[in-house]
Amino acid sequence: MRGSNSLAIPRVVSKSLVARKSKVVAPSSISRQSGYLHTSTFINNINTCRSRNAIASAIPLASTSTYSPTSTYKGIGSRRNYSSSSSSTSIENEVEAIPDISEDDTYDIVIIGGANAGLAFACALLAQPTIASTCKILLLEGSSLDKTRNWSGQGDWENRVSSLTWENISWLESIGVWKHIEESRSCPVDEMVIWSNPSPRSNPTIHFPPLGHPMARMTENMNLQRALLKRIEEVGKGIVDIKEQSKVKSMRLGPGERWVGLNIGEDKWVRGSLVVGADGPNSPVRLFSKIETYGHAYNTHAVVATLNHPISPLYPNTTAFQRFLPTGPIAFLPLSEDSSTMVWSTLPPHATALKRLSPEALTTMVNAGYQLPESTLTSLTDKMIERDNLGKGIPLTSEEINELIAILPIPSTNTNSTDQAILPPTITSIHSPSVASFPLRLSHANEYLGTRTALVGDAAHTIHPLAGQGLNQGLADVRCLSNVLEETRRLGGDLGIKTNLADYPRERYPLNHLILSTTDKLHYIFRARNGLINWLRGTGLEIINEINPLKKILMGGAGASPNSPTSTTAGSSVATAPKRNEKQREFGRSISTDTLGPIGGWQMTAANGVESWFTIKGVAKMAGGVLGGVAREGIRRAAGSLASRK
Amino acid sequence: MTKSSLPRHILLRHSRPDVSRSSFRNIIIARSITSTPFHCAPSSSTPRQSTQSQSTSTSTSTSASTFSTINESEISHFSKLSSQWWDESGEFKLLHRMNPVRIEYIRQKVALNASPPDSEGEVEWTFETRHRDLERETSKGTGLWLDGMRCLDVGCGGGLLSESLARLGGKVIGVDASSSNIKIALTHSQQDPTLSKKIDQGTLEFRHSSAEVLRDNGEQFDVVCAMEVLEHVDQPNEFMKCLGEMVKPGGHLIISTISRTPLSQLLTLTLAEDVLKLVTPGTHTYKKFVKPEELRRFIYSDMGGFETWYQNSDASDIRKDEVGETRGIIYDPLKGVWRLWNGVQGSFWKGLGEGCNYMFHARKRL
Repeated sequence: MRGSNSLAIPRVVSKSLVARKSKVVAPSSISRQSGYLHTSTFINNINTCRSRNAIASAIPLASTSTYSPTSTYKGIGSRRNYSSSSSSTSIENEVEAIPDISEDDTYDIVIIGGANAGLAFACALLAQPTIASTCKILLLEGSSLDKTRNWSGQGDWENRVSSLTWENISWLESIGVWKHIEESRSCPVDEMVIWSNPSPRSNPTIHFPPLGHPMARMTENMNLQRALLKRIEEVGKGIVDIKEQSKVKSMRLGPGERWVGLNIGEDKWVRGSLVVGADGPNSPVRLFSKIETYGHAYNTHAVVATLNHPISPLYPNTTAFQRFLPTGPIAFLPLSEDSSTMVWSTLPPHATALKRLSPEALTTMVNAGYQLPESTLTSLTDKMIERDNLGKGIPLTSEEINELIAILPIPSTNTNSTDQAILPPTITSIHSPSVASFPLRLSHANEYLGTRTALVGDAAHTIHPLAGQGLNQGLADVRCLSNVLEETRRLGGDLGIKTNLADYPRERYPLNHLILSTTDKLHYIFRARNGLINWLRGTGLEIINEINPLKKILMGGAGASPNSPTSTTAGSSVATAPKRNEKQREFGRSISTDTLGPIGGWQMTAANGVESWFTIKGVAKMAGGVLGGVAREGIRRAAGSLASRK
Repeated sequence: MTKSSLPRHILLRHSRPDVSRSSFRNIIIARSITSTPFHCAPSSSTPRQSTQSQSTSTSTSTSASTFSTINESEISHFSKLSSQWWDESGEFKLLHRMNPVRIEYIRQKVALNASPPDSEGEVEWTFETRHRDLERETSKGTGLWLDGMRCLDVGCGGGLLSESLARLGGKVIGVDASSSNIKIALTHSQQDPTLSKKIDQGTLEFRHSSAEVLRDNGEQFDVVCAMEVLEHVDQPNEFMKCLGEMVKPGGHLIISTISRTPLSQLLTLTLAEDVLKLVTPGTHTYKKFVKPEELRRFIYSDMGGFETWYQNSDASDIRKDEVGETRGIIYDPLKGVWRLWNGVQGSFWKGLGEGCNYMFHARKRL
């Protein structure tokens, strides 16, 4: 997502270590292999990933049991800038001693990375009473945060937009962050429509109706980051130090593994009892901790863009749409009344071709992406690829696309018009600077805890954006880890040791894994196009669409939390009250608080159960009586006929 | 039991309204502990004799430092293991995991459950804040809740407990009879930036010494802890008295040890030591384990009883001849954590939870 695919090349081992371990693997090969290892990680190719795993198993031979002064990673850049040392591959043999680190540069917790996860972690820690009163926290960020700090909350939309679930919004409110959010730039998502169109006659759709509060809010990352930063500056004075533009050059464990020393610039060292890696998918902290990841690249790039469309007089723009195409999902996410953002996950050549289109042509193409029947759209994108010719040809113009659409066969649609999908509004233009693409990858770190290190957010896992869960998972990680640290500190524990932090992976790992794998399966299920899967998926979607409790559960996982606490902060009533006018409602009941008949619950289930038991018993008794009577009558008649024969 | 064995301030408070009843009680106690480790000094045949020998040793001040409840074979056993103290996944893995729950128990007793006389500095209850009882309660136990308190960790080993207490703001002295343990504890603390500062300031101290020596020096503490020590000492009765004497008025005595039940034999000796080999075989001796009721009765009969120690503040607790609270801690192998066991005093479940490891707490009267 960051678009920075350059590498951090780890350079391994000191002379003494090499001498000891040389029987296992030659030092230069370690270095080259590990360099290759991380190169291949970011080449989105499944084959290299496989070979990566084979090599990865050899690495620990050389690097296990190497601790403190002997093992070091050099060339650790900041999260946003990995390019500084990517070209050098020489082996660092000499390990210079860590100079004495003064008390001022000694911290309890060092957070690396000043993006969403890192800033949110700092805020989460500030909300914990014991941590805030006893700990010194350092936040290191490689670039300047001025852009975030001075973000005005006006003007063009950023293309990095995330959905924040209701649960996370409630949490952000409770720790005092949400009040700094620019509300006008955060759009509630009240409804969600998911559909696919595998054949002209089938339009399986799930429609998630409004819950009474937004399922999620589409918020620019910059908006969230500025709010977090403001909160840190508001209450973090003397607790959280922020060091901007300080890239971590190397990390080393102190004697006895009691602290981690971080070299930030020339001879400047800081140290911390715990280093938290919130440093993105290419996490240097993860490399330092020698934590392997597994996963695979999707052969998919996501194209993002800000879409403009006229204000609809009928519908408020608070519905998120997602259509599953054979190449991947295309999503329409509301930002404001007249603008929305698009995430079109598609094959890499398609993504390149889309980006090369002129803004007008892209507008036409995106409309086609939402509206054309699937077979027509497929022919259209094929033509687009053909013309693009791997970036050498002249891309299609808007007129040509329109002509093509006119020529291409459009299959006759289903006569039943009520089965027609609810479509997003037709867009009129695209904000061209916002068009960007990034590769998609599923990855999950094998562990979240290293020696005095912990991983949160993208450093621990990356996910396909189709469920909009990446940032939400990161915030949940941060929340959990801050609770664990508070508990540890309240009991006087060492913040950096695994025994004390074990609750963090114990809670988060299975949950994250569940979300990652579910999203992964959804990706493949919805991409597949064959008769059986089409039928199963279509039927499945229709069944799910009819079962409201199930939909609620799905939404609880995918967006809103059904039992989320209502906000107590006075200044943030906007998040709690649905923004839409009751009269504007289109779907469902006319007033959202109206109930449809008696409310169920377990009492109703139990009552129904008892009732049906008595019904069944009564029916069975009756049937038994009838059968018994018939049998008795039969026997009597048989006996009578026997008797009469005699 | 001779009164001379008790310290002066206990004697002053220790009045006995009903002599015949108390002597009867003493007989019961004597019977209940004749076969227990409270009386395992080989030379003496009755508890009375052992206390007498103790009283002679304390009366002569020169020989006081020579008396010790330290068991030499135990010390050599733990000295051999001392290098492993801070290996989180090694010999003391279970102890590392037990540490948070021990501190939690101390927190509940010292910070949260402060008895009425100690109410200074607490937020006053008002009608407006009536909904925030829980919050108020927990706020007492956040931050540096041991700030300024003098704590003693007897048998500190590698300093697991001492380090935590020091981080919470306590002025901690860790004492161990094994010099190699003290060396490990000191090195380990000095490597930590925060704790090394505390060592320089003198708020964290490790001494190669014994509880008796500290007692004879007249040291007094707000919190006296002896975690998993009682089952390793000779003459636990003398050891307990020694700890009791070092508790300041208003201070807390906190012990953790292992009960002497078939369950503890199964879990601690058979499973942990012999089968799973989590702990080196020979670490524990079944005979030396102490049952919770023995401990509570001993505090009542031989350490001043309710005259010296507060009665349990729990209203449901109507015990008359026992002092202090015991609470079981059990290991949850699925989550890999220890838990404090809940249960109503006197119920079957309470007793079951205390069947193996348990904590003991008693608070001295002001």
